[in-house]
Amino acid sequence: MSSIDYHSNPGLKARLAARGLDSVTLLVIPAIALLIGLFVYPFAYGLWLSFNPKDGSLLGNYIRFFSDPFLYDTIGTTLKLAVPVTILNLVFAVPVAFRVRLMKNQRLLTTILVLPITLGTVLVAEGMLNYLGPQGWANRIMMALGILSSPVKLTNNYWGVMLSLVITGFPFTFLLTLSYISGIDPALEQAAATLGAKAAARFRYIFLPLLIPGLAITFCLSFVQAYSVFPSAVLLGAPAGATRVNDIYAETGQFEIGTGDRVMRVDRIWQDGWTDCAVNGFNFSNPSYKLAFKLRQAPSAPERIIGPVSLNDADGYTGVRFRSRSLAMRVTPESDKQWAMGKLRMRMKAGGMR
Amino acid sequence: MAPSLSSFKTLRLDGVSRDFGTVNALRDLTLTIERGEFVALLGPSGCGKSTALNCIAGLLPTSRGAIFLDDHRLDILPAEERGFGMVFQNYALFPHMTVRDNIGFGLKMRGVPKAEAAQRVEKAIETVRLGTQAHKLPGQLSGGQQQRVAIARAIVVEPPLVLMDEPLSNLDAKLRLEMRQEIRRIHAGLGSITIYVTHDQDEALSLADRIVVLRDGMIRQVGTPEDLYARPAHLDVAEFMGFRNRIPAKLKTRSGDAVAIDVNGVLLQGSAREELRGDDVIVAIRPDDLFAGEAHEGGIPALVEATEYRGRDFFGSARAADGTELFFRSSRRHTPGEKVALIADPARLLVYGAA
Repeated sequence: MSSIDYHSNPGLKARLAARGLDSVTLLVIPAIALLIGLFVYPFAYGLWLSFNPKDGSLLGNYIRFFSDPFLYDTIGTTLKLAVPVTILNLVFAVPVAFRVRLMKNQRLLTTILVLPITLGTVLVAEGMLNYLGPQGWANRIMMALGILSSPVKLTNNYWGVMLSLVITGFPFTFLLTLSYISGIDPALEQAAATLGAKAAARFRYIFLPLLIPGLAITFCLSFVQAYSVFPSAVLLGAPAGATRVNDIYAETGQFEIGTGDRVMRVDRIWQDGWTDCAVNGFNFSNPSYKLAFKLRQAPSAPERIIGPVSLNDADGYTGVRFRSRSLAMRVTPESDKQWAMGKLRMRMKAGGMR
Repeated sequence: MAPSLSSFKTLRLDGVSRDFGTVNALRDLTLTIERGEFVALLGPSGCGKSTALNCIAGLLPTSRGAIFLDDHRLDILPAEERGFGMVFQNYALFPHMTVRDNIGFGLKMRGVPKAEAAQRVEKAIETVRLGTQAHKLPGQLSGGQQQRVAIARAIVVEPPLVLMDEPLSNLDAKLRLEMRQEIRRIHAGLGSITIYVTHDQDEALSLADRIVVLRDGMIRQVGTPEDLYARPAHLDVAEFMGFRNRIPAKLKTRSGDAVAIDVNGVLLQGSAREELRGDDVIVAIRPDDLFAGEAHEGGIPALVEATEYRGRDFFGSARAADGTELFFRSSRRHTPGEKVALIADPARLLVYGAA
């Protein structure tokens, strides 16, 4: 009779398999490698870099970030767009999802509502410009019908960006909301009804508490989507103005100024409105140097010189306010009138004179 | 507001019908139920019993017909204004509320003062014996406990009518037997009408005062459990009530209900259950009432295929000469291939017309 061994442990393979690790598990390795290479490593590296600024201090970057009004103004402007858009999307999506949940041709309607996702932001933006722009047919029809006397400005400003974000963000918010609402057992509503709860009470006491976690997730995801709004803002907004958002900042950091009265054309950024222009980080060999702007009201208008202004602020930050389509900039030493050479960073600030 | 529990006498369903597109899911359901009655709607799936219940509850609009509680017409009211209690098949407990809050929900919606509501909730918790679970969430309870919560939630508002939609189908066999008694006890204590939907004939027989058998959206038979068990009015009702043996036969003689029939050349006595047209009939009998005797004793000759032991008796299957499969009871185990004669009490051998 062969003896049966009840006491020795199962082999390593068997023990790993019991914990859900077997040869099939190896299949996830390429995906994990990709994630680490393309996401985890760059993110960690960036994080590490952020704690190693040029000035050598550990938190230098963060101190500069949080003490720079331009940066948090940019974030503030973005929030002013993203928060209302997210809330608006949710406010639209919940009732629509509640209705769609009960429909028989759910798939058709869902397809129609989700279509804007497939178009991409650029296409939606172009479509909106054609439809809602000053010469778009929405305005033309309203004017032809005598409802409006002059076009309503719905693009190239806050409302343009807002509207485009609602259009592109709604399907996403709607789909998420619909899936959360469909996940609630319809019998719960029926039970509440047989217990005497009217529609409002059923929503308040049954649906809402069950939906809150889902709506919170939907809010976060929709918010993140709305927060990264660059294409909408650039194409439909007033990039230098009220809807300047994070992405534009990156673009404005690169202008160079040369000798003489070199004119920088930045038509794509300038709009009709007043704009603040600020300069900083401009290190002159002589601290008494001043900065002057040479600009035009319109392409054919005569040049005007604003300044010179002192650069004696502690952080070398200064600014002027102007209305222009094209701009020249020069740095003037106190004594002579030579245009200086140097690199400078320009920033556009929202609002301006009213 | 719907009439209160104390005042009503009858619930009347008058030609209640429901169509889904061109399909008549429920046709002309007419029934009067007295206060205190326990009525079971019984039938196979798709027979319209759940449709009927949802129509009564107000969860599904009726296509035709009317529902009255005494003289108050209810079918025109939405579910929340009918004031009925309903127990759902999957319990439909609110997952985010404790047992106590679930049970108290109906009282809260009715604006019952808090102190009184709390008292009534405690009483309902006691009735369904859930005292120690009251603070828990439904997800923390077993199936049987969830079922008790669902029942307590439906009865705490003291509705004139309690509707139950297969409430025991998700429970295991032992718990189902316990809950049957519980439901019967709660019904007796409440004194209202209970309408209970099920496809399980045992459940209907043991619980109901009156059973309504539905098929294809129509009432096939209404009667007491005893009626239905012993005297199904139609062959399909008989089949549903456990008359597993259906044997084609020829009618020989008839006097009143007593008939003589010829089954494969063997003359048997039986009871006619409906008007018989022509000579072709179907004999229906429960396996319980078809006994296996020795081959020479007279009866339907058959060859045993299998037997199984079920405690008191043996049950087996056999094949008659014409190939019909027969299920029978016996006092002993038979070997496959053994010849037996199957005999039955003429009162239990029911004869229906062949369709």
